[in-house]
Order: sequence, then C-alpha cells, then structure tokens
Amino acid sequence: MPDAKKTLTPSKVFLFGTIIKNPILVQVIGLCPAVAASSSLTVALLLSFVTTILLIVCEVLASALLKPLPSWFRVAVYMITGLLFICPLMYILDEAGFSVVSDAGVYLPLMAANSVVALRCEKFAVKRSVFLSFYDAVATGIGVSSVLMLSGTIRELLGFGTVAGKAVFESAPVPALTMPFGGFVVLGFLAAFLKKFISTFLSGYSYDMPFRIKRTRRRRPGRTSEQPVLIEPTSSGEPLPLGESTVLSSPAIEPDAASDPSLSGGAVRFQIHEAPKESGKESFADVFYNSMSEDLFAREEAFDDIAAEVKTEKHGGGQFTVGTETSPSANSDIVKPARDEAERVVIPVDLDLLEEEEINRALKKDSEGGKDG
Amino acid sequence: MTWFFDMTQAALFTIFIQNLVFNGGYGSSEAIRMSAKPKRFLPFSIMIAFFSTVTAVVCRALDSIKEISEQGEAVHSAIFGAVLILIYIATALILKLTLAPNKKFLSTLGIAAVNTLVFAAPLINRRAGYGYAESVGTGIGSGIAFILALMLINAGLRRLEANKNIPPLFKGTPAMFLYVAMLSLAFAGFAGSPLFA
Repeated sequence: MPDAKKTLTPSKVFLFGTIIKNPILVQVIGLCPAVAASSSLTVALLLSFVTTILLIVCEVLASALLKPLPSWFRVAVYMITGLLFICPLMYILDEAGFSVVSDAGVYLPLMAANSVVALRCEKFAVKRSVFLSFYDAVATGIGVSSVLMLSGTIRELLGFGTVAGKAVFESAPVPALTMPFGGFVVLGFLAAFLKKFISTFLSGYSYDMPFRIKRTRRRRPGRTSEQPVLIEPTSSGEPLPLGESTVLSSPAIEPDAASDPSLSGGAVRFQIHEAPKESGKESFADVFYNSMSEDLFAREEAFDDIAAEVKTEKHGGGQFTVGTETSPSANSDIVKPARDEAERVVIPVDLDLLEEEEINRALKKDSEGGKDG
Repeated sequence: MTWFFDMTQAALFTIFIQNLVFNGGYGSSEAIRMSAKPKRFLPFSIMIAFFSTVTAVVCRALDSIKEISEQGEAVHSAIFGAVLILIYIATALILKLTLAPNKKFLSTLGIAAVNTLVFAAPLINRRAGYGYAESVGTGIGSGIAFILALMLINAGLRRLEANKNIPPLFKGTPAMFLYVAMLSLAFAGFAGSPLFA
C-alpha cells in the first residue's frame, strides 16, 4: 500500500482546511464564538485574528515539541498557550481604550479553551511535520475566519442595521439575529451554501455532511457471523488496496480452515470472527469508559466517522469480485446480515489513512473529470 | 436553608432560563457532536458538572481575596484559566494513579475540562456577583443544562435522520444547525428576550 501520508501536499491541506472540511460548517467545532460572539464584524475580526494566531502557535508547537507528551497533558498546554496570548492582548487593548474587548465580553478569554485549536493540534499537528502543521493552521484559521466574518457581517447588518458600526438601514430589520439563535440560523444557511458550492465547483469532493445517531452493538467474544465472506486476493500476493488490506490484516478475520473446493479464480473463504476480548482485569475507568467506546480526539468528527465496507457480490460460478466503498457513520465491528445476493461486512480501518486515501481518490477523480471536460 | 435555596435557584436559572448551551452558545460544539452518541451523555455530563462546580467554587474563593478582586478582566481570566488547568491536571493525575484509566478516558476528560462551557462558569459567576451557593448551583446546573441540551438535540437528530422531506441541500449539518437554532429560540423565549424591535 502506498504511504498515504507522503501524498498529503500543502495545497491539499489548504483546500481541505478552508473549504472541504471547514472547521465550523463541516466539522462542527469552534461554534461558541461563531454563534454567540460574532454578532458584529469588528468582534468577528478580533476573534478571527486570535483564533488564527492561536492555531498557528499551537499547531507548530504541538508538531515541533509536544509529540513526546501524553495527549491528556497536551490539552492543558494548548490552553496555557492560549491564555498566555489572549490575556496580555486583552490587557493591552483594554488599556488602549478599544471597546471591542468589552463588546466581545467573556468570549475573548474563552478562545483559550476553543475546541478548534485542541482538535486540530491533536488530530493533525501531532502526527505531521511542522511544515504541514503550519499550513493546516493557516488553512483552518482562514476557514474559521471566513465563517466568523461572514456570519458577523450578516448578523450585524440584519440585527443592528449596520456594518462595522456604520449605519446601513434606518432600523434593525431582525434584531433577533444578534442572539445565538441567529448565529445558528446563519450557520445553517452557510453550511447549505458551502454544500452547494462544493457540489458545483468541487464535485469530486462532494459528500453528504452526515450527522447520524451512532448505534453500536456490544461485542461478544468468540461470536462468528452466520455466513462466510469471500475475498479475492491479488495474484501477486501483495497487500490489497486500502479496504481489502485492512481486512486481511484485521485480527477479527481469519481464513477458514475448511476452504471450499468449489471456489475458483483463487478466491479464499474467510470466516468473520469477533475480536476476542482482551484478557486481564478491567479497571473501573475502563468499565466506565466502555460506554464511551471511542477516542474523541481521533474519531469524533462526523465527517471522519467512516468505516471501510468491503462488499462482496456473487456473480455465479463461484466467481467473486471485491469492491471497496466508504460509508459515513457506518457502525464498525458489526457483521451485517446478507442483503439480497450481496454480503456486506463493515471493518474497522485506520481512519487517518482512509481519509487521505479518499483525498487522493477524489483528486484523481477530479483530474480525470477535468481531462474529460 | 437560604444557602440551599440560593444554590437551587441558581441551578434552575442556569438550566432553564440561561441555558448556557442554547442561550450562550457555550460548549455548543461538544453538545452537538456528543448528541449523536447517547451512551456518552451521562459520563460526559458528570465530568462537565464536576469541573464547572469545582472551578467555580475555587475561583469564587480566590475572588474573595481583595488583591485579586480588584484586578481587571484580563488578570481574572488568566487566574481562572490557570485554576481550571490545575484542577484538570490534578484530577487526571489522581485518576491515573488510583484507577489507571486508559488513554481514551483521559482524552475524554480533557475535552470535558477544557471547553468553553466549563471556563465560562467562573467568568459568568463573577460578572453576576454570585456567592458560593450560587457558584455551586451554576456548576451543577451547567452539567444538567448540558445533558438537557444533549437529549433535545439527540431527539431532533433522530427525527431529522428519519425525515425524507428535507431538501437535499439542507440534509445533514445544515438541517441540524437550523434545528438547534429553533431550540435556542425557545430558550430565548424562556429568558424573555425580545425577538423583534
């Protein structure tokens, strides 16, 4: 399998940070300043500046120095860094008599605890080079800033009848838009607009922006699926592409000892087993955490909540083809029952690699579409 | 007894009138993202309530010191932020040494501690001039307000997921934002905020 991380270029990082995976409209992080504080353009400008600087400082710091530290401790470091930047800035602006500090209210110091900084640092910066982390920070900063300023302008115009303090309307058309309610409404329409923009101009990256309830089933050790799944390996014996190679390397899948002689074309019968439960006494915290199942920092985002589905379709004569598709919010670790002629198995994969594989696939599709056009 | 009533009043005010998630937008990212995972509602809300209560009480105690209470917003924010970080690190270390939690648990603890909802509690208390009883009430109320927000958003997500009449452009995140906007509007009504001039 090619090293997907090597194919992550600054331009891709930039495109994804600003538009495709916009932190506020797609990843739904850093909402607090967007819905509550950015009710005017000047406050939105201040918050955008603070967020972008914080992102750059924290991501570069995380990538360069914080990798050896445990994740739980790094979160505290991000907040300390935020406070060290924001509090002196507040003091200076306050002393200089800028009213924007009082307009921003408690939301300015709250930027130190903004989830967008911690999430981008944990999800991206600690796994990548300083160079790419810097690009990601700038891109994410632009993505956040553009939403904050758009939202701030629309809400100030309709909520106060002004833009940057200058009167446009004689009276405020919809004062309610200055409340958090208005922030959510504006974000809803901006998210729909972004979706349309991506599907029109960047069709290769179009997706559903899913937000689904996670329904998980408890695993029982030693439980097997009712029906075997057939997977066709490559003739060279090399690892298969993403989904398939994950299948082959997954501890949950073992070749069935009693292979079926009726199979042709080099197909191998695999039996799906549930992964055995780890031995050893579980601590109280483990039991407590089992109800929470996944690492929030690594897997939380709805967009990333993707599992590879290896779909085997029966064509007749014992021939099987393997296709890979991705499905948002698919429930990992669940063996689904046979559906008509096809059997579907959902397999947990390395989501980071999958994400990058998707980027590459989308770029390829995009360039092919461009050639055709 | 007055202490109890002050605390309950502040808690009820935080939950229903000044619901921090819907009326203030605090912790709204965490609320929306967590609402899709019903099994995590209770533990995460308990963590939020714990951190906001302890932070609010410690910050209130510090604010009773004359040298600190005379300082401006910037210094207060720095002190309250430092208190939150210290409480988080102390809690994480105590849990690590006593219960040996896994990495995921500690990451979740970090998200519950370092978010705008928890950090906002002492800052709002100071602005409102709350005493100890109200600070405790706000802390507990934050946790309950958070779980109420989770349940309401979750109920909406289920309906949005099942609704086939949503225009394709608004399916998913846009519809979810608009649904949360309606909830926010309802809570603004409880607070008596005027919608139109």
